[in-house]
Amino acid sequence: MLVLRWLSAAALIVVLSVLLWRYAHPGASASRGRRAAARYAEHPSAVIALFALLAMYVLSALAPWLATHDPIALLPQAFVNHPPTRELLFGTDFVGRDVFSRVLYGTRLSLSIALLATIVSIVLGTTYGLIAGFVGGALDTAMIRLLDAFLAIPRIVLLIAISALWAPLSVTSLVLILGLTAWFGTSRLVRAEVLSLKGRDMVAAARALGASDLAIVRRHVLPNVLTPVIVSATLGVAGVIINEATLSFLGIGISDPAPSLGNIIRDGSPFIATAWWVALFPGLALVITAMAYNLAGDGLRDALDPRQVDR
Amino acid sequence: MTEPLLSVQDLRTYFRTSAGVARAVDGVSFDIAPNESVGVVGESGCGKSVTSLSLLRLIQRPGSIEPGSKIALEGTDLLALNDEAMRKIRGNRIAMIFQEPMTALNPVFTIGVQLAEVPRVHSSISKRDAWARAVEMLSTVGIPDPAERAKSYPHQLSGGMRQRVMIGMALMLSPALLIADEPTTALDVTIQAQILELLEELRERTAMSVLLITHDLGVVAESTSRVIVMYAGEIVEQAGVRELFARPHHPYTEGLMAAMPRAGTKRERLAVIPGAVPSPYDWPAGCRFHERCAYAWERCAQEHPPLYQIGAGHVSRCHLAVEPERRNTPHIPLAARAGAGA
Repeated sequence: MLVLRWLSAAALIVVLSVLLWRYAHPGASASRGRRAAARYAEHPSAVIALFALLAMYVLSALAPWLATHDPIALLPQAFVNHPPTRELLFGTDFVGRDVFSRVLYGTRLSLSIALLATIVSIVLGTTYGLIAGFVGGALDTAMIRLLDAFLAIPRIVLLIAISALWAPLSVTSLVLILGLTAWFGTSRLVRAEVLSLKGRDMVAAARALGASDLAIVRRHVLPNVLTPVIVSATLGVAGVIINEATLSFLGIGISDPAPSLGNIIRDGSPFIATAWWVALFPGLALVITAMAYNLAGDGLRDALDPRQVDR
Repeated sequence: MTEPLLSVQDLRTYFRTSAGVARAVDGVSFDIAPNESVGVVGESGCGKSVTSLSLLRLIQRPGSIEPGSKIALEGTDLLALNDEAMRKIRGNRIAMIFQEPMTALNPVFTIGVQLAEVPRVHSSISKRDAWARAVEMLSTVGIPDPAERAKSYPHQLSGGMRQRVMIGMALMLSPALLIADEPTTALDVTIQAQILELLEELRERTAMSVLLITHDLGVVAESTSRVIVMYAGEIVEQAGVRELFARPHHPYTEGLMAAMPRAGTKRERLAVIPGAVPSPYDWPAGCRFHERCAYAWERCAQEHPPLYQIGAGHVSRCHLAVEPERRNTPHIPLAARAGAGA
């Protein structure tokens, strides 16, 4: 069931990115994609980040095959808080579950939730920003004030409040909650970008040639906001992963016994002085993933800018 | 005279803002005949661009075309059309090109895609046919190797090439009237001449009319047959291009001509018209130019001059038409005196 969900998420991402790329660059020669890739490759840290992400996804996709134990099965009493050995790579936690297997499955769940939540937030944020920026006037003022109100509430407080109302949380509702609280920044970005695009001669020229509002949004506004949106989405995934881990750490996200990076860290935190391995390994997985997404986002920003002059 | 293609009567475009009403275009009337090339000249802020945008009804809030204005294209009252019908006029019957060819093209699409898009907005032509027409148009506007060039992105082209592409986009639907708003201002002088030549050549070939908006009398001299001089939201002088250059009547037109650099003269500094265009929120009473005029007398400060007939097809909004002897006694304009005192 989880495998299915993860695979469908990954497939969706790939299909979406290809579609978006095709849509933004119809008739684009393959060399354009190659040039973007070449610009991306100029950032060694971004390339390393890309491979790190790839590794995380492959490892977690293969979790059922790579896991040495059942992630929720309790090993015999002797194995409680057992340090790492050749058998138990990352040791065991306080009830005697294999941390290595739990981290694999936990990463898989955390990554899928983050991806799906980011899709929700990007779609919502782009639509909201597009409407506010393009329609303008009183509607824009009202929409942007509402956004300010949302932004004034600390994200984590908002998350906790909503999760409390929704409890008990299914994976689907967690995805929705994380997505519904992550779009404010994106819509601000999109709105600002739309406002600047709207003032360009390009839009005036299109109007002068009889283009309708819809055509202008479709051909001139959307493709030009796509680049910052893709970059913001990439950076956004990192934020959502951390938020999900925070919720699970606080015990209101993914609940025991299902593993997520956040709740494995929570399981280990009381024993950090004596059984450091329980919190360290999921912590590392979390840091590596979040950092890799941030670095990849920075690389993408430079690679995708269509105005970037080729050297 | 033949039936005019475009007839503008008492066009008034006002911007109602919290600071008051800006009367950017204030009672402008003119005709354009089929296949005619008309120039509109004036400084920045005198209402040229607002006039051209008004013709396409592209004035954005808080601006609006005042009731009582009339714009008729081939007998159709454009101001009475609904938005959808007006949208069909744009591009099809009236097209417009802008000053900045860089920002007027979409950076994420190839120029071929952008050209091919134009006919697809208005009709259900196939992608392949639209592309073929785009390539053909690129060759029409003088872009070498059009089939290859169509696959270029705007940033890969020079300024002149981009302006050619813009002209091509505007001509995709064979409009009856092409409005060119400062089409050469952002370009090098040598490229300017090429673009003007191209516009003139296309006009002759296609039977369309051209309305060329510019602040540069030199541009007008090269490529139009009739000139409208605008100042402070009004037409102040209108004449055939030869007539205007031979016998400029309005002191503002004289000033514009004196401010033109000329080959073969030794003067190091160009003449300037003292002062600046007044604010559209508060046009001066009487003649709107009197504060900057070297001939102004009491009458000019009190009585708003009508358009006097000077000669065949030559009108001027200046009281000198009825008191020509005043031209012999020039003085330092009010604006220059105030400027020197400050």
